[in-house]
Amino acid sequence: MRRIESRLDINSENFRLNREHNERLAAELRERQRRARYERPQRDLDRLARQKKMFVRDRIDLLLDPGTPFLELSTLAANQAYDGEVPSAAQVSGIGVVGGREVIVHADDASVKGGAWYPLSVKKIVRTLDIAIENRLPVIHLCDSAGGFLPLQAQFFADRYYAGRIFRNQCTLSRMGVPQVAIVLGHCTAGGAYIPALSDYSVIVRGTGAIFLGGPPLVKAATGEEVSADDLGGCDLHTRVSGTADYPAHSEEEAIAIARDIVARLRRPQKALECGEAEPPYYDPAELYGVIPRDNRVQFDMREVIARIVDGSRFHEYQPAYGTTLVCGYANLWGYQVGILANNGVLFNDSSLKAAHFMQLCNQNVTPMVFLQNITGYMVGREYEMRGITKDGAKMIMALVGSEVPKFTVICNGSYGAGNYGMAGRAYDPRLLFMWPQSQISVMGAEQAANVLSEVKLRQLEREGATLTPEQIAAIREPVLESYRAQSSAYYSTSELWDDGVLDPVDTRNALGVALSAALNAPIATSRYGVFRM
Amino acid sequence: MFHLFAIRDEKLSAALARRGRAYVLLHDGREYPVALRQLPDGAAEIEVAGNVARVVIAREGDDTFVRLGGESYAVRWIDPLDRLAHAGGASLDDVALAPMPGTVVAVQIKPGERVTRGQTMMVIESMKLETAIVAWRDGVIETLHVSAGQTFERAAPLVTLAASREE
Repeated sequence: MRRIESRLDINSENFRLNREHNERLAAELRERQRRARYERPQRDLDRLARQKKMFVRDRIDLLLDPGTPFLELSTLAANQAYDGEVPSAAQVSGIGVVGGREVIVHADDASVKGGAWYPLSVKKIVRTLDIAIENRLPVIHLCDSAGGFLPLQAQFFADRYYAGRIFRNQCTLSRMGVPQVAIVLGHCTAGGAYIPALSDYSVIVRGTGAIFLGGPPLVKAATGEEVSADDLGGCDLHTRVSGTADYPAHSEEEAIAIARDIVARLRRPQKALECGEAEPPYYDPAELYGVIPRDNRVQFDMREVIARIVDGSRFHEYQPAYGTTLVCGYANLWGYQVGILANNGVLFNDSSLKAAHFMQLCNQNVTPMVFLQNITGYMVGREYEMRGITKDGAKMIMALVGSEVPKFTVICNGSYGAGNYGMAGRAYDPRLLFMWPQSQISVMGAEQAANVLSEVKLRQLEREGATLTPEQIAAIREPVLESYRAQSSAYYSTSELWDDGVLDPVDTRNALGVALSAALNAPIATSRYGVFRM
Repeated sequence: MFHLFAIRDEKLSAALARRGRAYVLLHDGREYPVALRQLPDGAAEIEVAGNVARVVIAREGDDTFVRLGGESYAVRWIDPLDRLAHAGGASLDDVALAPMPGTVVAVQIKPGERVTRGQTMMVIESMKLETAIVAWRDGVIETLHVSAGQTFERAAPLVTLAASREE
């Protein structure tokens, strides 16, 4: 495979300004992540210490194999919800290595509101278990939750993807033969009690761990019975009498050691594809900071991005002269072959057909696909409708949904309209989806939406013989611009769990490497497509 | 979780991790590249952070003996489950619970008395079977919960040993 020849002038003024801008965004991201991970009100930390419980981050450190990568997901979930008081949605989720085995960790964070489940906590847990199902990753649950946050129950209890889905997913995992180990380090109350009960193995800490459908206050209210948490659902009750938990432990450390011993006994699946020798990129990934324009309306060559992510910066480009607004081709990433689809402009008829064709090639060749999004949408206008832009976009989406190889999506800059769909947006089940800090995501651009809405209003009034003053037009445009600005940022997206996390661009290669390796725990089926509108 | 090793009188925590096709040793917050190559004569060549040495390694049960630079070292890996099993202090492990409902046939101990592991403390009878309750570790009787002739339910406490001290 030939090396991509970078056309970037790393000594230019433009490069320097981009780099400064993007380094600042990366530093801001790291600071937001640090706060979400570690900054807690002192009284919450004091309470943990009083209860002799470890901080969730220390538990995870102890659980994982030292010196192995941990890909944390959705660190900034709920960063724009609940007045910012529920960092990471009170949950830690991530892919790591325990006893040499790839697993996914789901941990309640009792330093946030006693580990209560908010609506976005439930969304994050369901997503974590969906990832486990799609990639056949064993799950380790670190349980320590006060139960659902009752004032918001209407937003997490009854609907299809609400809390019931957590337990449904647990049963699905077990049915698929994917093991789960629960470590009960605090209370598992109400629905949370089913997490250890539906896990194949469960460990519980004497003194602090407890499992019950109704906690002591609820029992007192319901039947008048007064009982302590330990007598109601403590370690000895469940490991000696009820059989709800399997292994008693004297301390959190011992509980984690027992869980590690269990995971080390689990069968290791055959990986779906072989991994070759990895090679670092020839071009420094840190140069990505200078590649991404500081103004996100400025076009850039996605090959410059590919060159800073893939092994040896080598790329086999498919159809280099056709449909050039979409770059397609093969590369290796941490030794795994991938097919890359990257936007170099708006999607036309030819670039859509190229995408549909290349996706079918990747499936024939059993090659996972990586989508690098910078897409304003499919081309509009009479000329393109006449050539069937909608049916060509439909072909692309049909090929995408029929694909069985693992898909991964990185939103590098813009992600607008149907372009988001055709390029494996969230609804198209990429195994993992990440965003870069400057990315924007919405059904159309803020300016375009404001113009469309004021245009519609003007026509309405014209029919009635009225007109609008510039002030009245501004009054229509401003609120639209404002809501788009607030709800199309990467931080809003990640707050709502539309993605699996915001990435510092230089970490993209490693994140995709962990994601690929994890995805290959699941076998790859043969692709089967629906009807392509020709 | 790091591994704990006993080397002579010292305890060391360390871990091994992969870096590409090679390995690194993690110790004290640092990473050292390591490699072990078998030599034709049965010895091995160990390389740690660029330093190469000849070692002879022999295993016997839980112990590994390493001969390095004219000295012999006995190395033992301490299973974290052993190490952590008694880290919690006072616990239910200090109490013998009745395995089934029954009657006390005989009591051979008094509070304050010292017992050794394996010593019979009392005999109980249940479903026509006599069962000896034996000391599960060395210790001192703190409480005798039942007396001869008394009946009890399943999981009733029978004997409590004074809490063991952490070592």
